[in-house]
Amino acid sequence: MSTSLVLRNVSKVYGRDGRAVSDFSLDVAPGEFVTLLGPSGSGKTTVLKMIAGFETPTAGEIELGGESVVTLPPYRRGIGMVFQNYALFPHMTVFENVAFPLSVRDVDRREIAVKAREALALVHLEEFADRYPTQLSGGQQQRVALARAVVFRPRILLMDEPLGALDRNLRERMKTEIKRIQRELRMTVVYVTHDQDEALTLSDRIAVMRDGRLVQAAPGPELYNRPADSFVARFVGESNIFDCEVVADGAGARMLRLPNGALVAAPSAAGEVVAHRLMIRPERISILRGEEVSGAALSGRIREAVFLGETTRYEIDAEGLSLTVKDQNRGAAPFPVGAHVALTWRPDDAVLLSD
Amino acid sequence: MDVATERVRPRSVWQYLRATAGLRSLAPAAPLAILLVGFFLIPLAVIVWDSFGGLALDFASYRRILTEPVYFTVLAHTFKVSAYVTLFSILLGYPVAYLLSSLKPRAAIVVSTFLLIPLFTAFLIRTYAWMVILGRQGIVNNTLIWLGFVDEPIQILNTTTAVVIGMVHVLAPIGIFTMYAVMAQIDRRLVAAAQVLGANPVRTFLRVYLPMSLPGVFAAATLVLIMAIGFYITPALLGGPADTMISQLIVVQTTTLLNFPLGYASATILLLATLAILFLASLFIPLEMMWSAHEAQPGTGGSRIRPTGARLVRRALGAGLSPVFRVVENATFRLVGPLMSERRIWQWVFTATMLVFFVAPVIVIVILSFSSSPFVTFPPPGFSLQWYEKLYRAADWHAALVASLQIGGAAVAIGLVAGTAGAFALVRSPLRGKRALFLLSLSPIVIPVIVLALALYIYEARLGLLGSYVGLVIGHAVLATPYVVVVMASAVRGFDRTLEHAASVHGARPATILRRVTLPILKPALTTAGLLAFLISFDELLVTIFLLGRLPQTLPIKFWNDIKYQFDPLLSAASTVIILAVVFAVGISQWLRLRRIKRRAVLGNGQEKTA
Repeated sequence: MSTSLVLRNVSKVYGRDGRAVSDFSLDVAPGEFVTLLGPSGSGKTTVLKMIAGFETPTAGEIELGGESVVTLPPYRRGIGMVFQNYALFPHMTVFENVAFPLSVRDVDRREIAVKAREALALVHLEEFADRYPTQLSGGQQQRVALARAVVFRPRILLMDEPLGALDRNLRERMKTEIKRIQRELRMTVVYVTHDQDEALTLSDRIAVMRDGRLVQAAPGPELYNRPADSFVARFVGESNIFDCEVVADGAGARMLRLPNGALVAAPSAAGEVVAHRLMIRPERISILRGEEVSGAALSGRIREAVFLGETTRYEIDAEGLSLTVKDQNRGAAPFPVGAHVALTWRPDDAVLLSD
Repeated sequence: MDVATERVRPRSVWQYLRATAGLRSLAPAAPLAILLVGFFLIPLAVIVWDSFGGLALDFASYRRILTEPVYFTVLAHTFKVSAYVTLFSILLGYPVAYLLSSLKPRAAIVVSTFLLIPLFTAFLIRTYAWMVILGRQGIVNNTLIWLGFVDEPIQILNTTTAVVIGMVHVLAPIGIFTMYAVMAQIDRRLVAAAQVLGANPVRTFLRVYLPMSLPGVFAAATLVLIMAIGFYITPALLGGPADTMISQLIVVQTTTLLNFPLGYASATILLLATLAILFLASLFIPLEMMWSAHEAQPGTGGSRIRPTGARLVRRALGAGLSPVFRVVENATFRLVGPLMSERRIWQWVFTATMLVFFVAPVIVIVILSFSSSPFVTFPPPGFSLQWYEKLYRAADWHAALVASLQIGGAAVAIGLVAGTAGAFALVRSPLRGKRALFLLSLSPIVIPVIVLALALYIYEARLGLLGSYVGLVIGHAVLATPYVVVVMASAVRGFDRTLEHAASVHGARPATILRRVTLPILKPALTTAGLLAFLISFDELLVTIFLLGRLPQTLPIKFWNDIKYQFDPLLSAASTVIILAVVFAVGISQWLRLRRIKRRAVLGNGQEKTA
């Protein structure tokens, strides 16, 4: 049922405006949920359009289940797709919308009825079959779009920012729903979003795009913990990023010199990297009172403290460096603004970035 | 990426076509292009060319028109009457458009119905009505005598006044709808904002609303002016001998006097005058605005168009005159302030008066059709159905109706196909010249009908199509198609293409998409376009006069001949039947719109409850 998708050196050039997508390669395994994540204009939607067949690649190869589809029109590719604004046919009922992919394939009427009901049941909308799309709420329309996209058991499901138009609560519910349906149908999914939470919640693997290029494709935790460059580090989660210089201390250990002159221990993986930048996540930094701690990596002053419920977020001046630190609230009184604090982290929690 | 990696692979036809999307996108415009080039541009070129004898470069006809007082008077009179008509249409129409644009959708639909019914009633019928109203035995004279203002009937019919009244009646509703389309896009919150910021209502109107509505006024004025210049029926029937306008001149020269070079030259002058007006207007507004076909720019309202001309005028006025403005504004506010009320009584009174003006002729015709008198007197002396009985037995009228239906049907078929396909191409093509092509495709309804009529007459005569059914239908199609283009272009522009993408990716072939998604969604627009195209053909007189030959008379031709030679209430009975059809068509379409609004309102409430 579900199929592999291979994009090999795909490029798209629009007129004289330049490249929308450059040399993009990605392998998606059968049943895998891959998200294309990136800011607007990063080319993720163009990649999706090329997979669907609305755009033809200027160069490169796209294969579904091992066969090239570049020359196939959209209607021969056997793809299911959920659109950003749902793109439900306003002149058809919910049932007719869901039945559409089957009826254009000349499936037998009775079979259409059975399969469309099944798809509607999958999204819990059986009783809305005779309504028109305009008579549904946004969340319901979204689910009709999903039912329509999966009713014919497509080889692959494409989703283009499907949750963009929904409010926060509904978005949370739909995320769970989409994940459940994907598991139930064991479908290959390519999902496009600019929302890192959606990407992290849903995906087996996330492909981060920037300026039409693939920056890094990896499972969520790896992307978060081992970002390939400072763009990924900034785009996925919060981060502190400093320029740094690899030096050896008196004992020969590898150390990093930060812009303010402070020396911190280098991560063990630092060996082969020609390091230029150091990245540390705000929640990986421990924050300790005053100068009482010896051997702290940095010392600083609290500039701002914001209570966020489960954590408190501090902006800290550390001798010319500005850091963001997130501290778990475990009942202790938060540090007041102006307090002197010491900051430490495990050397291996820091990541050296190649750019 | 280097060239080597951009592999050349075998492409399917489908893909090849997509690669040449620029050109392919214009392919659907082929029928429209054939119609426009073959039966509009070339014929026009022919008469312009022949107007100076081609290579002979003989401008004698032009010299005659511009020097001989007879012709020059006609030219001057044409522009004078057109200027009056434009002025009155705009002044009288502006308040109506203003009120219309401030109404809630449902009220606006009701009010606009009273504009649409006269608007869609044939020119001829309305002109006939004014003959009845303004005649020696007409309502106006009878009322004046009854009131004792005059002792015997005064001459109104066959004066310039009658011509202006008749033309304003025809053109003001068109101007109102053009202004309305622009006003409807003005964000009324800006008016509220100005008042909150301390501007009194008069100043708010003059400094906030009026400037934003000016592009609409300008568009309406341009449209009314160019239509007025080419008028034929109204001056011919309501005016006296001194009221001859240039269209009449051309008809007389080419059908009676057979002085063709002079006719060509007159037509060319008329054409050039129209183009000059359009060129001037295009410095101030996008011309599409005249048909409300401009693309709405969200957020900017009318202000996207910062007309060069308007800017200069404003700068000149703004500098020296602002203290004067302030005094005038304050004085005006003191004067009219007490008249302003929340419920806008005066606006309503004015609008209602205008609506009576627009609808009255239609009602007069209906009443007259039940007259017991064999003469056209109003009010009729008694009730009778004699004219309907006559009409029922009048085989010539029946034949005319059939002829009109046939030609209208054929013209609609051509217009819908050529216009819709053309609209798709013009909206969806990525080519940059498409705006010019769009304006070109509207040009048959911009230039005076007489020019087109004459051009087609000469051209079809040379092709041997003159007096043939095909030739006549083509003439009607040339006039009807631009309306289809206007309606369909705006519908296609508003069409969400992701719907087609959704259909395509889920397995529908292009033909299936067209049949099951695109056309069904565009059906309301197609219906409107078809109806409009039909009405244009059904109402067409001038082109038909020239192209008819020995073909059976159409209704307007029959009407035209009867008005001139056999002026009796039978015409009003025939008119009433047509009016009923118009009322029915307008009523249905307005009712559908009303229902759509209601359904949306119900839905809105429903959603609030569930949310």
